[in-house]
Amino acid sequence: MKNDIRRIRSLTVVSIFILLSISSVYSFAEQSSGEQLYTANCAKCHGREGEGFLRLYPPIHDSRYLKEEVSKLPCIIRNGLRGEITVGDTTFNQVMPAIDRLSPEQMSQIITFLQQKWNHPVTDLNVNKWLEECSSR
Amino acid sequence: MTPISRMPPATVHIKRILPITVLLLLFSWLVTGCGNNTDDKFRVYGEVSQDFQFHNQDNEIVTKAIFNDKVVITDFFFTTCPSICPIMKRQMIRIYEAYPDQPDLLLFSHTIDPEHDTVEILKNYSEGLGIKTEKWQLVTGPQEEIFEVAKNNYMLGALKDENSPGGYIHSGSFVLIDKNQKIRGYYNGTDAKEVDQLILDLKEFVDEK
Repeated sequence: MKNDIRRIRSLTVVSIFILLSISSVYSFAEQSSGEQLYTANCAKCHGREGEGFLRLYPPIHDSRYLKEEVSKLPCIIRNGLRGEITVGDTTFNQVMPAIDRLSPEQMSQIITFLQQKWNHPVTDLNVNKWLEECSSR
Repeated sequence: MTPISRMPPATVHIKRILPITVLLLLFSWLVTGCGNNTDDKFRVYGEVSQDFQFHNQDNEIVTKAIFNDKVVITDFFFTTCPSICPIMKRQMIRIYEAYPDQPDLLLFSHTIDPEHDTVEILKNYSEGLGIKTEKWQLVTGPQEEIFEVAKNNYMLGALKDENSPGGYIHSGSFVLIDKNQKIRGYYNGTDAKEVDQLILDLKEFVDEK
């Protein structure tokens, strides 16, 4: 009987260990993929650390589009942005080109990566729905 | 009996040769020192031969004459370029800032997407960069002419390509042009180390009369 309990205990510990390892590997892979997608599609303008560049490209590390207005971000990525926007005390008035090559899944990976990177709350992302609603915004 | 020697002593030789050697050294130093130092260090790749007529961000007409007596750094870009242009502009602004009060230096960037990059868009872009027109001109014009100038004046490629990000392929080079409109160097405008070298090399050309 004692031996059975020991076996079950050790099996449980091993299973938890395996599960934790798998989830951390998955999480690392997801983050790494989000990072790669950010580097390839966004960082040339917004900077590796989201610092922006002069009054050409706005900084994004503290952007409201990663926090309270995250539902607008997929549309901005998909359709680009034109016209005046204010970030902090600075006004930007450039054209952000549309990036139509990113899938909803890839957008989610980028947004999650950025929210984690700059310690914003990681929110539920309903990118497909938000993209469908783009035109009505 | 003392031997008769017809040869003068060695010290006499040195005394005769020394002033001539010094004179020769002085002469050669004067010749090389007063000559054009960049001729030895930087080869000539070509010449800006084709004239052009473009509009800058202030809607002024600019022709090749604007290069007269200026050291020019030129490149090709477009404002909505998602690939190398943002990196190139980050590097170009370093050159701009490295020579804040140098009237002999002109930065000259051609858009290759004139359909989108109108004078108004370029003005807006220049305000985003925070640059002065007399130091850094952003120019637009007929696309065919811009592509020809890239090829004929600078031996650079710029062309439409639907499969490329932004719809264009273009060189990422910064071209260094001397005050006589001769091309003296090509530098990778996306490589900070090459731009460091360009900033150093530039000094020799702006100091040239």
